Amino acid sequence: MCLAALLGLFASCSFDGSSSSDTTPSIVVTYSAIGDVVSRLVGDAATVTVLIPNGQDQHDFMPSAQDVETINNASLVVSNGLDLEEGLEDSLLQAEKSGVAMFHIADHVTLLDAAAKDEAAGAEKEVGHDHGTEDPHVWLDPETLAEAIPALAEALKLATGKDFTAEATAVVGELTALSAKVRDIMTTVDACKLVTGHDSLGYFAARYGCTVIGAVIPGFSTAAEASAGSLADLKDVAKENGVKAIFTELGTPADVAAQIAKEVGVDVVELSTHVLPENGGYDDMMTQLATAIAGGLS
Amino acid sequence: MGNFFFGPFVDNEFLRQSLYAGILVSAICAVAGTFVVLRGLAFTGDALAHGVVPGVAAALLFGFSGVLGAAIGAGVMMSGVSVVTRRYRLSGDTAIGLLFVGMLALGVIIQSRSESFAGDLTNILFGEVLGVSNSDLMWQFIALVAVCVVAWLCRRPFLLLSVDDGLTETSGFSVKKYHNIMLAMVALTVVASFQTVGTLLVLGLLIAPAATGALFARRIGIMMVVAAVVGIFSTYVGLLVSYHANVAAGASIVFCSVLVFTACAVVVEVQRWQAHRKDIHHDHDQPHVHGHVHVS
Repeated sequence: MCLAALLGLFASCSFDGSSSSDTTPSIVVTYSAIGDVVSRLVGDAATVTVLIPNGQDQHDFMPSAQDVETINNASLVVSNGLDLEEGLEDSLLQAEKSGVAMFHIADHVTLLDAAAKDEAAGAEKEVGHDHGTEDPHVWLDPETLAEAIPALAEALKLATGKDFTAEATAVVGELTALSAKVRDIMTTVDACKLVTGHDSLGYFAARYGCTVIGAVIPGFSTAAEASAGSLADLKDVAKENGVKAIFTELGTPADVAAQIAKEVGVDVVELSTHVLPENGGYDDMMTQLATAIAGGLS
Repeated sequence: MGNFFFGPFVDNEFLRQSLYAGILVSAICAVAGTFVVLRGLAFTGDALAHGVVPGVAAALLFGFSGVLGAAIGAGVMMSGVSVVTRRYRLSGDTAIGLLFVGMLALGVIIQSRSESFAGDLTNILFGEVLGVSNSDLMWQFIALVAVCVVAWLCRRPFLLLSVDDGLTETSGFSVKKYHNIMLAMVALTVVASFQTVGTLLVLGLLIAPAATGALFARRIGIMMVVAAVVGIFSTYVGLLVSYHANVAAGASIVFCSVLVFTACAVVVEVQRWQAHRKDIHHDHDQPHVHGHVHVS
């Protein structure tokens, strides 16, 4: 009896699965900022599911069983790559092995590496972060993100059978316009020197003429811990450079940031670098980010 | 040279704050930890420390004070431990283990769906010793006073409990009552300490310095003093290592306290061995150094 019921359940599940994938292709995107851009690209041609709930740290997120099912049933999975989604890594790899199509944004853009960034910033003393690894925070510069759009349109075509060339051109145009808007906001800042929660604003800084002075957690992930030495260095460098704010983000140890800001004598300003604003999309996130940075530095 | 040892603390206010918090936490842990070590409550202490995780996670999710959440978590854990050990014929460590891992899992589950800006599990597990505010210090000072008052008022039953439950009953003290008071004191210690060293590492400061005290001292007061000194020394060295070697601060402090215990245990072992050799040569002209507690 139980067995029969169980079999019935399985049958109905697999039936549901196949029927939904037959009608509209399912595109799974790992996090919300990219999800918004992908939605604009595909319109009604596919359903777009964002795995990591908006508000959670991409670096920390662990998938539920249902999330893994969603990945495995996807026509295409769009992820950031470069270890951004640390907790999803294994599930994505398994899905790829079993034949699920994957698109990693980071494979299709010009990457900044840590060494180049340090040179650009002239930072000799920034210690503790993994040199040689590359910065995954590509979405924080719309122009870098735009580089991946044509290739993404190709991948979507393979997955859904529909052509998105026109949409891709439109989205690239939108991202370029957004970048101009961000640049306009950033021109109001004289000396854009950034101290952030973790090393997240490399692409933003490179594009809009900022210098990353340091981070509370020196590294591309929020999962590491600050040390007394790195914080003391950060404090000194921040004072020397006359930074005007300590910017915190999702996953920044708030008490530590507050203590450093107090000693440097500046305010803590919260930035939304990994999360979309409430009722807002990627464009709002970027303009609000630029506005918050400009406001914090004025 | 002085610069190497004191410069970091002179130059950095945040590091001085960390040191002050470390001193307060070491003192609290010395008092509570001595009883934890003597009564063999290390595992219970660890369970209490992890019991606060779901409390803190829920506090961040629903936006109330993390310390309040931790206190609720520790309270639930405490009553859970005493109910399970009394009702079922499971040995204490099985019951405690079940609750411990259950509470930790619940904490991770709550945190995994929390969309709070500060709901970071890393901060709960490892603490934010480098971000100590004045109000944190004030709460820790109040907790220190409270723990000392409890330990002083209950010094006789606590001492008896550290020796033998039967002896406690025959001396006219309720084992159940004073055991629960002791657990509450440990819970208070955990709640006061976790923001500084984190729920995973608080056990280190709770037992390593106290165990070191128990190696050297017979009297509880002296054990506590030794434990406090070891804890404060470990905090200082741990912060210094974190500064010069660029490593995580909380873990350095706790690791240092365990190293101090290990070094002291080796010293005591060597002394014992030498005393034993003397015993053989001089026919017992020196008292044994085996540990026992004086009930006085």
